[in-house]
Amino acid sequence: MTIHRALGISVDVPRGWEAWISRMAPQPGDHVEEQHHPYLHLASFPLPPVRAHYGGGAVERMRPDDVFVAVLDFGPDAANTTLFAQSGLPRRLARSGFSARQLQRMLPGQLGSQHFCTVAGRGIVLYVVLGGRVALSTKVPMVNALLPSIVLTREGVIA
Amino acid sequence: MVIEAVVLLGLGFLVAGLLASYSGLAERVRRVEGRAPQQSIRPDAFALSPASGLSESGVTIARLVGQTPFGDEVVLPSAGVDHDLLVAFLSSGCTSCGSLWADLREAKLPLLPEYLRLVVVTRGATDESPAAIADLAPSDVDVLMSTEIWDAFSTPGSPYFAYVEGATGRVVGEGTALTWTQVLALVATSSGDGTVAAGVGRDLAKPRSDRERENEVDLLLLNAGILPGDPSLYPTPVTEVTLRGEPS
Repeated sequence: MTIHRALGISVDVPRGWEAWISRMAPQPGDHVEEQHHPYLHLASFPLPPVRAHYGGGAVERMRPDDVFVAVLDFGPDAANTTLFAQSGLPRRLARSGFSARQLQRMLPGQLGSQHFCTVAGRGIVLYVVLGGRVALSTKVPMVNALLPSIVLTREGVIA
Repeated sequence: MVIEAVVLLGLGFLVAGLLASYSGLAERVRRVEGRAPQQSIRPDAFALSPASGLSESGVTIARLVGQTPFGDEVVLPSAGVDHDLLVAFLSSGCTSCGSLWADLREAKLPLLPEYLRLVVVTRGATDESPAAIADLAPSDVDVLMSTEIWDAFSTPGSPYFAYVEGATGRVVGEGTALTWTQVLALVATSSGDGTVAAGVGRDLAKPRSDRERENEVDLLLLNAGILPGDPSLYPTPVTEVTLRGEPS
């Protein structure tokens, strides 16, 4: 495992996994004062350079035993709102919590899990995609092992 | 006649003196700016020849850690994965790198095998300008900036290429090349895949601006949850719509 730290996010990256810590790019139509918050992408497969925050462009390439993890920062405005009321990132995901209905976009065989919470004054979404049911037994334990290593600080709140 | 010869000789000395003076001045400016002169590999010094010039350092690299010119912090695994890695060490200043960058941007890179991932690595932000690299970088190939990666591979200069075996992270081939076709020879030798050298161009005719526009539109659609094949991308043609009140 290697510690990867930037923009107020740090994580221990499992061997053979890929990790990106990026800041959301400005989009057409953004307000001039729009804040562009950081996000973390982790994957057990090669991520394409062009992909969406929720893994669009990457999840289509997943094999059944692959996993994609996104930690998305929605900033201080989202923090402690009803949707983000849970305090702290989940430290363990139950296999039973994964379903196709949790996916941002349903793809055949894939399962997903979404959690909304507030960490360090930031509204955070944890989004996990499994390539197939086999990953429930092979990759969910790995995700559960890395979740406690994800640390978010207030540093990333800066626009 | 003699006078003309003397004048010409004098002018020759003058030009030579100016050139020498300019060269010294340029070197001093580089030192003042704190930038080491770009070390460019002479093609004849490290000519890539699968028969003779290819070397194998045997160094093991577990991962590549660096920053993209756009500020992303990235960890890419190079060991314990089921794909191999082709690391292309390029720089913004080396003359020989210019055409390699251009071919990447214009998608004139020969088709690489599916088991191979290409990653371009430049020196880090203290040695290279992120803005200059961002301008050179293609949108559909990973580009990392990291002097540490250069040091880990003991990269002698640029352009330079290393082939990393994904299962072990071992550098099984390295050398220099001036064209991507020559790089394929390195790949063919390192991977033992003789079919690689017959690689064909991908999207040869598509200009950079078109590909960048496509990538921007793709990203907007992806962020809106519209993936390839989404039915909304293929609306019913107007001719097939039956207007209310009109006989069908």
